[in-house]
Amino acid sequence: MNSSNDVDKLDVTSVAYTQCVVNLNDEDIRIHSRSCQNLEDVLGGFGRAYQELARRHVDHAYSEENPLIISTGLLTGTPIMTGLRTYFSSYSPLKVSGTGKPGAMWSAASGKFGTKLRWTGIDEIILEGRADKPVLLHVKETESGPRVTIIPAENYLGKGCHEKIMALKDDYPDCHFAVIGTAGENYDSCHFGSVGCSTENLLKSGDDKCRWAGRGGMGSIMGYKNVLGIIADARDKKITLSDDIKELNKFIATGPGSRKYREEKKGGLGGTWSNYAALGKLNIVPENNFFPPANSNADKLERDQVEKDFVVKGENCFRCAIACHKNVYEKNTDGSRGKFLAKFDYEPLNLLSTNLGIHDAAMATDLVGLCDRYGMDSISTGVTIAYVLDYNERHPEKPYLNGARFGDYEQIRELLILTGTGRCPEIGQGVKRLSQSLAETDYAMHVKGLELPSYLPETNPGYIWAIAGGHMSMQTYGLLAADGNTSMEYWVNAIVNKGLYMVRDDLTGMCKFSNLDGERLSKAIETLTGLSISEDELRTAVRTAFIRGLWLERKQGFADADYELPGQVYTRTNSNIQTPLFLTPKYVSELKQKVFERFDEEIEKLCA
Amino acid sequence: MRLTLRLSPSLQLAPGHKLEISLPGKTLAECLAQTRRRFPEIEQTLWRGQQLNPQVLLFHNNTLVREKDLSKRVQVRDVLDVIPAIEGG
Repeated sequence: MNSSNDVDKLDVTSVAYTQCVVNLNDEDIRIHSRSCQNLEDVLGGFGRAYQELARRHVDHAYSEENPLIISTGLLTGTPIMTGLRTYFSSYSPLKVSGTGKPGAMWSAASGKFGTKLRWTGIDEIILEGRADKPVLLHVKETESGPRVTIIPAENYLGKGCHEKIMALKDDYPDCHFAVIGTAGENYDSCHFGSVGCSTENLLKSGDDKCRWAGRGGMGSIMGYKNVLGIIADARDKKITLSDDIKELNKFIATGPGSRKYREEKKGGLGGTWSNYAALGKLNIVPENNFFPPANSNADKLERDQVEKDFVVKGENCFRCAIACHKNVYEKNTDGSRGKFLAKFDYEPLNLLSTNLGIHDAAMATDLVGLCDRYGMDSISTGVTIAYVLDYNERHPEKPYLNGARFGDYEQIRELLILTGTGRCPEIGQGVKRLSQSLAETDYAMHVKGLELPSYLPETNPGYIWAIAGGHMSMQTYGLLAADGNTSMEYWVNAIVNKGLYMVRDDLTGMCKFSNLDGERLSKAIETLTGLSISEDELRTAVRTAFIRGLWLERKQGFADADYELPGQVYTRTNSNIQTPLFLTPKYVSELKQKVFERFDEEIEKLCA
Repeated sequence: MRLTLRLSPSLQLAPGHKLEISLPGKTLAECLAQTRRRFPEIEQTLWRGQQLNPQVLLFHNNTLVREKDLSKRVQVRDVLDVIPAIEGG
């Protein structure tokens, strides 16, 4: 990103970014410098990528017309702590409207791939068309600028994400990688393949510790395009930090925003895992397909319980002191750390254990580890398997697939392996399509085709307006537990004026776990890029990008019936839940009307 | 003594609301009580009636605060962070 800005009011057209367009059909590769047209272009991430998607006419996710856009944010690869994000945007094979058209989607990952990509001199890659054989993209920094080549990749075919990265590491030392696993390779029978990005820890330790762009099947899109991975090949940059940035990084590492994710010894709560305890108090930890029983088992997988038999270590991405990766290792007889098993975050852990009726940490590490190995989104995998188990509980007379029910570890494991290797298209199509095919949609836990994260839909009507996954693009999932407020006015305000701003760092290149306030972020942008963007301008750009996301849903045929919570919220009351049960069809209908009154006006203005 | 209270940005109720305030008082409880009178937007986040909101967590310097810790005396440069108990990832 180059800028010639030297005036108070930013002239966005003076800011340029380097875009590489790769046509996989004829191997034509073009690298351009492009001028920004608005502030979303400047900030990058999905703010820029969605404008590109808006120009396309795509009726099927797996079609040559559907691009895959790999982009960075303005702060990706800069010295600010957590400025590491890479975004993968496309029309999703999973998010789908009632008309059958795919919805626009992005997914983001940290690790070191984004930093290395930015250091090659490329800010954004657009993959067009489809290669006729498996290929890799090699993006290399050279003295005359970035160079991009397409490399045959048949010898990497059939390997899991981690296995691919370790093989690539031998062939391309000092590089970082974004790859798909077998799930992405089998895109036709697994729509929720993810993209794994390498970390320094992974390359050094040899352990399976990717960072994931998991949501929405971006790895499956990459698989459809026959691109098995991207190699970012640039020398590491030695950067001297200014005092301002040192101070800011110290604040990110020790301030209130990252406490949740830090280790206890660093004044933290020990990671998103701690949600188990907080949600457990109200009996709202998803269990048995989002229907917690009165005698919840959620406490069995709280961190202190797991640490009795395993070693848990907080580890980090490149130059980040938050150490949010809670890696689980075997515990040796002397208490020391043994073999690496899996990384536990709240979502993968819950959805691949408690929500499947499994309450054993060893089994949980196995299922989470397997899901990563095949390169599948743990949320989609877990929720779709939970649906199958629920179906089998309800229909003991006609068992589906292998007949697995809640707690059947071996059979659940079998379903997961079959899905990850492309041999279970029933689960691989995601819970929306699966439930429609079985004509039982009420307990399919999704909104707009995207499986729900680990917060009960009874507690979050905001899911309806999440544009890229329920806990990454609408920050309302914890509100009922925190505030207990069920008034219409409260929820309209929470969605329209607050929740949507959580997508800010899906533009900027920062990780959401930095949780940096707008004032400091604005100052950081100025210090690091020389661009003067006020806090208000940042908010406006984020809002515009979000509204464009809603507009793109309209464009793809998302209509009133798509903006709905799972039917079970209304049809099967769970009296075990200790938060107010306030979501009735009438309430949600009124909420939709009031929220869309606000958003529709902005959508129309944006289109005009 | 004065205590610096810092709110996690995810608890900010509206743009422009303060994320950092200084509270006078001898103990944590005394300082927190100040929010009830002087900072209504923080009061909404912190309190449920007469009780502290169980879904927010307080860290005094680097230590998680329990009910019994509220009588602790405040020292120079002490910081109290307020964060949500539930946050995803």
